[in-house]
Amino acid sequence: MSDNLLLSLLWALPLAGSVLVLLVPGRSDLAVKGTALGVSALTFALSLVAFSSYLSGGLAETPLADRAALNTLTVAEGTGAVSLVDEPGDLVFRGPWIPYFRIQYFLGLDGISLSLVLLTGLISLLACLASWGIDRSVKGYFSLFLLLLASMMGVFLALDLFLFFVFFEFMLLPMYFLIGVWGGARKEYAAIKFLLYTLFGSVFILVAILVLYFYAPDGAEPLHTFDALRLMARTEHFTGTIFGFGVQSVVFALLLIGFLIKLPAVPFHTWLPDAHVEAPTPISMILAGILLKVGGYGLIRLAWPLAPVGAFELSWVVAVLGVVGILYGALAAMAQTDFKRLVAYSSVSHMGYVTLGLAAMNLIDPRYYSYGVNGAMYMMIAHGITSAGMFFLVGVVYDRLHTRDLGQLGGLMNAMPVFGGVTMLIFFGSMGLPGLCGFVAEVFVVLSAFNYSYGLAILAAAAVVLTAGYILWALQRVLLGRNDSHRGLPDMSMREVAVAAPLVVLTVWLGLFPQSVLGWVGPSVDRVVAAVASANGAMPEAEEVALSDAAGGSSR
Amino acid sequence: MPPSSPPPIDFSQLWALSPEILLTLWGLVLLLVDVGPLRGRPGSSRRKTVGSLALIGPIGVFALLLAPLVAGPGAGGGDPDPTLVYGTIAGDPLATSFNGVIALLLAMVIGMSMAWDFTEHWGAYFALLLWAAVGMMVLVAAEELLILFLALELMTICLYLAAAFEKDKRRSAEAGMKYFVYGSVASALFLFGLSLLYGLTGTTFLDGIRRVLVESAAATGEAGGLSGDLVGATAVLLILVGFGFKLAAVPFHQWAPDTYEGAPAPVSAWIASGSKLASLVALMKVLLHALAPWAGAVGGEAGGGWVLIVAAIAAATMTYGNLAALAQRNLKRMLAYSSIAHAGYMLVGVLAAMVTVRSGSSAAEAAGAVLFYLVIYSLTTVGAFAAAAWLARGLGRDDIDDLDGLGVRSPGLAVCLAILMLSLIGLPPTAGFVSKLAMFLEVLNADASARSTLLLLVALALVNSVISAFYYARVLRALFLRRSDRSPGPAPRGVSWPIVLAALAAVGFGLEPAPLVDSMRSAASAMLTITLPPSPPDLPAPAPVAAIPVSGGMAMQK
Amino acid sequence: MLPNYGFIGLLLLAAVAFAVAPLVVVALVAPRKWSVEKGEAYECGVRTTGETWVRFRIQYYVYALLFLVFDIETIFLYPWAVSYLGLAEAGFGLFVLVEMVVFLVLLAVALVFAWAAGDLRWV
Repeated sequence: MSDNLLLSLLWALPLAGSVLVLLVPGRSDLAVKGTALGVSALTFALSLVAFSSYLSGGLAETPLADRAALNTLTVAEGTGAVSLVDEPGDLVFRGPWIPYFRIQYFLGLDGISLSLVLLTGLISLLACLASWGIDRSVKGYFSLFLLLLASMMGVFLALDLFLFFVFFEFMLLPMYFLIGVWGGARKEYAAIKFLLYTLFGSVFILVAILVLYFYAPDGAEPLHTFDALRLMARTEHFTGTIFGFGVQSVVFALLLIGFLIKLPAVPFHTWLPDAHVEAPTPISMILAGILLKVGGYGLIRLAWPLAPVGAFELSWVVAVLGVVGILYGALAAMAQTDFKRLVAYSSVSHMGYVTLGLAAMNLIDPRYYSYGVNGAMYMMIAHGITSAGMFFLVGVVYDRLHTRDLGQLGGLMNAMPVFGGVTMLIFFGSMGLPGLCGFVAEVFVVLSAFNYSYGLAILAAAAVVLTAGYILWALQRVLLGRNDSHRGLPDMSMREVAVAAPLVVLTVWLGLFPQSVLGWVGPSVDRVVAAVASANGAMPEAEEVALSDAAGGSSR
Repeated sequence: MPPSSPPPIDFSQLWALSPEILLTLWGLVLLLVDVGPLRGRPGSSRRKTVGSLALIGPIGVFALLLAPLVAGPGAGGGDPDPTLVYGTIAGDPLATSFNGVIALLLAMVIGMSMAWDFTEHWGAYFALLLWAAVGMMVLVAAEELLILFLALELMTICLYLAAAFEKDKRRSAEAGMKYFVYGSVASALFLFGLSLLYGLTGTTFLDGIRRVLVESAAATGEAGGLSGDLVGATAVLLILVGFGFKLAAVPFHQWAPDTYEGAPAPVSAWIASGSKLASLVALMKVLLHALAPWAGAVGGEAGGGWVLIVAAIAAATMTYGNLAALAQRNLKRMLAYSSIAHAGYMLVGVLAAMVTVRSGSSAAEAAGAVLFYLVIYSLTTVGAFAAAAWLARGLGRDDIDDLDGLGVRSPGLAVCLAILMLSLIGLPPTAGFVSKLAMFLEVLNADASARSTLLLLVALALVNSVISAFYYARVLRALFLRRSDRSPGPAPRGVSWPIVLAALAAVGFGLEPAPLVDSMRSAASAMLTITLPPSPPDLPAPAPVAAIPVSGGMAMQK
Repeated sequence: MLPNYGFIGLLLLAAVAFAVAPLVVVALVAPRKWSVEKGEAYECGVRTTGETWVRFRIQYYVYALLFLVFDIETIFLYPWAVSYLGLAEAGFGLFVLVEMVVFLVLLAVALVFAWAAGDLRWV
């Protein structure tokens, strides 16, 4: 399968599926659901194909920029004829889109994006399965669902900033309707709040992209490109000032605000609890599992590499924001009485680790910095799995009891033993119990933070106690105790088990064998770290970081 | 230009004016058909017959525009000479392409008009629509101030009358009255401005004015701008009042909300799209071509010119339009404020075009981006007004809340309407996004000395488009998030096809903008390079406006 | 340039003064006495009976408009006729003739329309 076909199908297939769902004849909801499930499954299968060709091609060893350089696109002077060279089998494709503004149809995968593409495929498939209970406007729901899947895939695939922005913005729309139509009591409020917050954030991103496109230091020509990799390779171009601030600082600050809103980090997080509480369960899974990762992905893929010097100048702000997010999220989670809101705030807290891991820029010894970014990346994957599982489990309870009030739950362990077991495991995974996936990420991040600032690291480490506090307390209020009114509740159905099982397996697997992911994600992350570090004048041997030691050491 | 020994009239030039002639005559035919053969028939039957007949007008225009393409070059007297009738009217790509756009908008407006019975006088109504289109076409093509003013008046007088056509509604009468009173004052001031301009330069030709101004600037050795030139400044201000009124730019916008709300939906659509389209093109011709030497600098030292005034108007217009739109409940009134806001965005583009005209780099690209935006905006806004026509037909009112539940009842049209709203917000992948971005890219591409001012304007515009998402989302909310037991019923064909067509355009040009961008760019380069046909020997050659290769092949990086 | 406009400004001032001066003089000189009649809507003629806001027949305006149309036609036709010979000598005879025919046809259509719409009937 050629690169173009494979990468394009990853987003085009769900897009075609969203139309196909609308065309399903008759009034049979089952046919619609089946079609949607089939399309999601095929998309996931495609992402696995991409994964296998990534591994078998040994692509983890070649930097994305080197691979991209082999795929060229030239427009002949005068005739306007386009000729492109596509190196087969390297998971990068570069085609023309709007030549006048040099906007390319530029897709590519490396460890960072591929891991999130896989996550997207998996979580979407599970969320689709979890959507079986939707009974209102089924066609519209699944059509929008697949549209959302298509745009999320596109975000992770795009390497052209314009293309990225198009997919990024397009994501809002299906989400707006999925929350607004199929949501809970205050759905309209939550939907418009989500829309406006994210739209506001994307303005910052757009301005940053425009600055990158047009900025020219004195006596030089602007780069006039949206090619993210080319811009990253030319960061020294952005050394001047704009409005009295360093260009890189401005670009970084703009991207940071845009993506922190999406992530979300305190103080831009207030849309998240509302959106989560009002969204239907599968959409919460997607929102927590994937959409929040778009923010983290934007930071790690765009914000840091595009403006490394600016990032270093502002990194302490980001680190502080990260720690504040960890603590604030955990404390707020502790105060919630709504089960879903609690899980939502736990997401805020966990995303704080991502922020902190990225921001702990120890340039004296970039090895530790690399730990932090690897940890952040791992946190995104781990959180994608556990938080999707947590929201799904909340949904399971809600389907049966129609309440999320923690005060009215309790004693579910007796009534639903399978549910209880799964819940325990996934919540512990989120808490960071050693041997489960969350632990690896937290260790990496805190380890990195210790080598950056003791104060922040101690606060972040102390937050583990808070995390344990709200998770254990929540489990106690939901599962333990006696509550006769819940007697005779049906345990998880086969379908629900099918949704939960992959998440459980992955929670354990990622906790025990982190190297199975870090082995192919790590090199890409390390290359980003090395580029950022060398742009800041740090020693270039960061590239030599042997990650296998670090990973092996932490999972003992 | 009274010719002492004039060249003979070339009647074959009339071929280039055939769309205008056709529509004028066809309007007369409609008038007579309505009072002649159809006399005594009930109103709704006359509405359908006369409306269908009226559609022949724009279709005929398309046929006339396509005929030279089919017959090949040289046929039908289509000559390469871009100016007609002693250089007063242009027959350039700008005029032909905009004739096509205006005919398309006219067809959509006629379709919407056939939705319901808001008047009895169908012959007069459709004739007015056609004649307003004639005014717009001439306005786009005008190369001379008197023709420009006449076309402007022809267009607006037809629209004054049409706005008041829903006789049994007081608001419609109010709409026509307000539009008329504001409009006539603005016209008078505009005419005074034009006369001052004539007094200062001694010519009424746009290109002639430009040459005189360039010459006098060269003679005095000043870099241009208006500093110290009181009369010139007055003329520019008065001309801006006239155009500002037509565009509904702040502070000349007060008529717009009342008129748009009160007038029948098709007429509001016609005012918001065609009238705005033609006026903005005329504004660009006058400012970018004739008055370019008076532009002044944006960030430089050369003193003030109209650029700064337009910048202030643009900033005020988009901000005010968006903030005021937030509070609206009526669909047409909301669209009125949205059209005010969009006028502000377009003025930013005009500024960028001006700055690039002066630095001579890519004038046609920047102006072409504005034209592209203008066309996309016109198409989408007509589609949005079609929804108002649908509501007015079914429910007799057109609040946003009346759209409730249409997502369930008419999912196809509701999706199309949603696409239109997204395009108006400027969300990808719609044409609204691409056109807005293309325009802002050109703005930022402009002369480096002006970049900081322009960057601020662009940032303001982007923040404004986020604000606008709030009120456009209100329509989305009504369509899909609400349920209602009142329904306007199924949409009539005249309403549905404009909506579908506009939505198709919004998506199609969003994914593949290149054809329209290219044609708009060639139109813009024609607009900026037009010259008087017989070059008077005593005047110097016009300052070179950079001739731009239209389809620029540029090497992309590897 | 400015001195020429300065004269216009002077003229403007003079015109305004000419209008304002009597008002000022009257306000200073005239005696003020209140009476019922002065409060009336009309100080002359007879007292109105019934509603003051009566409708005029719409036909009246139509006649006025039609009169105006023909008035303008005459105004345009007359100079055209005077200068026709000169223009014909310059080689514009046919063109000018066609233009006038177009003008007259437009007017004729307007008249036919008004006629057919029943606006010429005396009610």
